[in-house]
Amino acid sequence: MHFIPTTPEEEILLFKKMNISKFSELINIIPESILINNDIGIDNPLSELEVYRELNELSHYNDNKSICFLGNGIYDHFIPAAVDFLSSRSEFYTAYTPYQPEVSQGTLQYLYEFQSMICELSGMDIANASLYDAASAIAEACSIALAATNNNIIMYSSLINNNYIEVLKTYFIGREVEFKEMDDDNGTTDLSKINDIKNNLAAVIIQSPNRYGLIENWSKAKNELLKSRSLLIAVSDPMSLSILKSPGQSGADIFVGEGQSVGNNMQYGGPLIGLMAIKEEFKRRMPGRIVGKTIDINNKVGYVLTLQTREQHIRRGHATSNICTNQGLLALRTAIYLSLMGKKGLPYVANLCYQKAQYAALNISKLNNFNLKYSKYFIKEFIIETKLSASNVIRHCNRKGILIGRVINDNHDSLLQISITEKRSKNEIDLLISTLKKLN
Amino acid sequence: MLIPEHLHYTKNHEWVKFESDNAIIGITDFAQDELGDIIFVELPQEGTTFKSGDSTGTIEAVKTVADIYAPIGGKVIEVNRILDNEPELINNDPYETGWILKLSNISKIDLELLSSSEYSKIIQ
Repeated sequence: MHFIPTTPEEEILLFKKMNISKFSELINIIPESILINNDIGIDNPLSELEVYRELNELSHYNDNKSICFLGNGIYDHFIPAAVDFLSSRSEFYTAYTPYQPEVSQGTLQYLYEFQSMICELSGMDIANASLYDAASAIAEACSIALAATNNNIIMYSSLINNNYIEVLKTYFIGREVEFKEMDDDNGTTDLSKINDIKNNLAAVIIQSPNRYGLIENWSKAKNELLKSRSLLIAVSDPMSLSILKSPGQSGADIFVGEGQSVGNNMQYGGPLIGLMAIKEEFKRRMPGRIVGKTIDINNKVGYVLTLQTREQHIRRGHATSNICTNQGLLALRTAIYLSLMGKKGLPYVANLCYQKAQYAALNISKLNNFNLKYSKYFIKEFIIETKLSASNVIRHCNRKGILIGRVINDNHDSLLQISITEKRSKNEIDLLISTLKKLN
Repeated sequence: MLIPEHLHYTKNHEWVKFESDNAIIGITDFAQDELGDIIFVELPQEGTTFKSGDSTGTIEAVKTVADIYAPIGGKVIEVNRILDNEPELINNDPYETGWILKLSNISKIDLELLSSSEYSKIIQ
């Protein structure tokens, strides 16, 4: 199959017009010295059957037997079959989200429903149709704060997921943004620094549950900001939000989160889906796509992109963001999952995670060499401190088919991160406990 | 095209009206006509200080966005909050109810301001 839109005949016509006889003459401006003329190490073409065999062979390296206690932003929640079935229907299954209202009422409607659900979970006024992932969503939230306040300092909790911090700093390379870090005070964020830097502070970013799984106090952070213009950016997990006080109720100005936990597979780390919802006063700075509900000339309900043209088509150089797309297919899966779970199902699942995680933490901390590092105010993820070498413990468990996580910047090699979703049975959790018990 | 004689103008199509120690700023009839239907005005925070030539905010029309440049330096003491809900006032009445912001502590006039007759030549 050709991926070039010209036929060989058309190519000859083009060459004739340009007075050349072959393609290489068109690029002979490239110096000989920098051209690669030798073999670049790609094998000869394979037939369909050969490709199938090779990929099948490779797929045996996938580990689909181990019991997953990994987390740190991506979680092994159960996904009902209806999510895969409905989202893979040909009406929906596309790599490119069609937004034209004339031909895409179905797509626009599910995005509208998705936005409504994110608003309800986060307690905010307006959600967009999703962003790439939580990490870039946090950076986009900072862009809103920088533009809305005209300030240039971003203060973030050191207990935000480490990957998010890396992406955040990368996003703003070349812009005059100053970052300040709030310290870890026994597992939660030390908010005292906010008071020192009220001038020029654009936003404070706090994740709850944080990267140790512990619940943070957004309301207290908001109180510190009350007399300033600085915004509170609340980062969270939508699954946990079903049983937590919402960012909206806590006074947050912007909510961002990772939607992987509600209806999307772990997928070896991605693609993910960034969630964002804001207070109404910032609606003109919202990045990406917003779907709105309206009526047509016959008074029939219809859905259209709202404020669509402003950022990219009209504001151009003045725009707050350059994001012109969303994570359509995963937003669909999220909307289907949340509809299936409903108002009772979602908190039920979150509560199951909570009960199982508390059971696991309690029993692991009864073992000789292990104890719970921080408080018990966590939902589905916690940190265990061990007197043994943490990396040895992790390696031993992996060999036994049990996956547990390491902690970033664990200089003493003493910390383990354990995440428990509703999928982990009592037998599986007991196997983890007994495996740890045998270690000394 | 209205170009009132008692106002001062800039090449960027803003007008300035001096009122005791303050300056009121807006955009000209010509500017609003060129922009077309105005749908949103981004106003600066009260208390912000600008130098002459700084962008104090933006005016968004259906097809374009324009900066509102400070014709002179000063501190924003008031912005026209009615524009938040009725940005079309700038289209309908650019010199009176469509004013944009008021500056105090104004700098010595370091930008060349134009008279109405000078400005009318520029827009011809």
